[in-house]
Amino acid sequence: MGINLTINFLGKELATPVILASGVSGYSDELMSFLDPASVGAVTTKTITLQPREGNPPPRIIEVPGGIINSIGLANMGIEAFLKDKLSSLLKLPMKKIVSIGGTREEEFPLLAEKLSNSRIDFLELNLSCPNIAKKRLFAQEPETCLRIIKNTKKASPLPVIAKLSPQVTDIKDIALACVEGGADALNLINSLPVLCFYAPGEKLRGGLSGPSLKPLSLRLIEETRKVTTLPIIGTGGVYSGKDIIDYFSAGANCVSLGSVLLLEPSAPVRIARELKDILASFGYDSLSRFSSSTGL
Amino acid sequence: MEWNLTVTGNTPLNSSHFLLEIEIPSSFPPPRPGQFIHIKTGEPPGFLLRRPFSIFSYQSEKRKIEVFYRIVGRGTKVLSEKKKGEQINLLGPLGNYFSWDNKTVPLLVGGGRGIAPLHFLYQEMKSNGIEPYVLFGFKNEEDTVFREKFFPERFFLCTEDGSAGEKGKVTDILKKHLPYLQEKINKIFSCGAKEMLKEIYLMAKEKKIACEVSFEQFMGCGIGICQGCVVKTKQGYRRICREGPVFNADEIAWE
Repeated sequence: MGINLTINFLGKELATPVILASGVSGYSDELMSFLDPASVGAVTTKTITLQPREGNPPPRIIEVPGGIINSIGLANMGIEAFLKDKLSSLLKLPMKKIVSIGGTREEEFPLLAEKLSNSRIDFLELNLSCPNIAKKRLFAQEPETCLRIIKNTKKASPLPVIAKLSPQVTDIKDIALACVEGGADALNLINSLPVLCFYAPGEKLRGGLSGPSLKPLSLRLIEETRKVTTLPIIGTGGVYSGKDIIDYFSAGANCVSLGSVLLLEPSAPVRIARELKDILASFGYDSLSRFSSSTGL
Repeated sequence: MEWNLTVTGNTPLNSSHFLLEIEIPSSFPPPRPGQFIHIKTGEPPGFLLRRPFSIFSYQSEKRKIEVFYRIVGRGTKVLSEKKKGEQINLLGPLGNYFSWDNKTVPLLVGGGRGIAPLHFLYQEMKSNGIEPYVLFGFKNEEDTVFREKFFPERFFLCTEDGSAGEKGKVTDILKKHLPYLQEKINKIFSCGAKEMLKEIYLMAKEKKIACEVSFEQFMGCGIGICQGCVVKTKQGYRRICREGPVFNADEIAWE
């Protein structure tokens, strides 16, 4: 049965609701040999910063029960090398393109946005919530900072802006409302959760938790956020199956992004899109948009 | 690069070490010594990362590769329960490989399961007419599997408790033998824990002998995307899964 998975996201058509999350898709061309691009609606680059960043010392990634802890530390080549060496291959991909930008100072966001203004990418994602950089508080923990960053980024670039938020906040609604006021076009919930583990006696890794254990937290925060805004929401955290997408839509998300699953199964989008079609068919829907309308979105 | 292959053997060698044999199709790219495969040992939510394993041997005529592993955690425990005829999902062959030519007179130095890629290298060198010197170290006699595979006159064995071969760590024994071996060899190849590799490199450097090392590290995607496995080089962090696992030891920023 031909189930139509296309969705409208900020005025653009995504072939499927599956977005490849930042950090697990490299600069975006590396994964393509593993999957059918038609199974992916959009791809998000690694977070790009103004200057190249070496990232954190190893170990950087550990499996724990129910999740993965990473501490990559925004390792990336910096905006100039990205524009020179990676952008052209990114633009050749058939799906929509999201460039994630970040930094340690809020002034960096508008500067990065300006440099990407004429790049023909589709969306900017502001990484306001990376748990792995040396900073007392995350941008996404301060409503006024979120508001200011988004406002200044919007001034610097006509590109639609997605704000990626942290689960480690007192009330996600306050942060979401600040993003709305700042002019965000969409929200991405959630980034990884700041945690600590000991991978050997006395050997610790501080990092961000992702994977299946994050999904219930993300669903809850999306449901909360949905009470105060109609902005499109990308649901992130533990999407491993077609059923997970249904759950995210039911909580109020408009699309999902895949993160940890790609580390285990680089071809996962193909399977997940197929599973989603099967579920929709079993519910009697011929398209995702019909299902999505039924959830009240 | 992603394969669903058949397990044709999974033999216990002692209480904790196993030899896994996997059938490969003719389309499987011929692996080279130093390369690894990234095995999906289980399904989520129990298993969320693949486990990397060096290729222990490759037999093109029999269309099989072998993996030598020790049970160190949940992933390898599950792997040890794989039965002949079961399917296994893997990515590979991945990473770079050891470099050598017909002028190389090698010494292979390994400890524990770090002998895996060196065994493959030994096989390849032998089939190209090179007879490497080999120094392998283990905890005790029980762990000294495969000792019969190596040419006895050029094979040095040691155990930490002295139950087989010379008593001591592999680095102690290398220190003892290098003064006369240095006249015979011109390159050291090694694999194992970083501390051991550093000691080996420092000895090689002192004797002005070239040295290549293969690193072990927790790994994420295995295909260069997540940047989860890195080692610090003089040019900055490099990905073990992509630029490695084999590095010229001179390029490493040893700490």
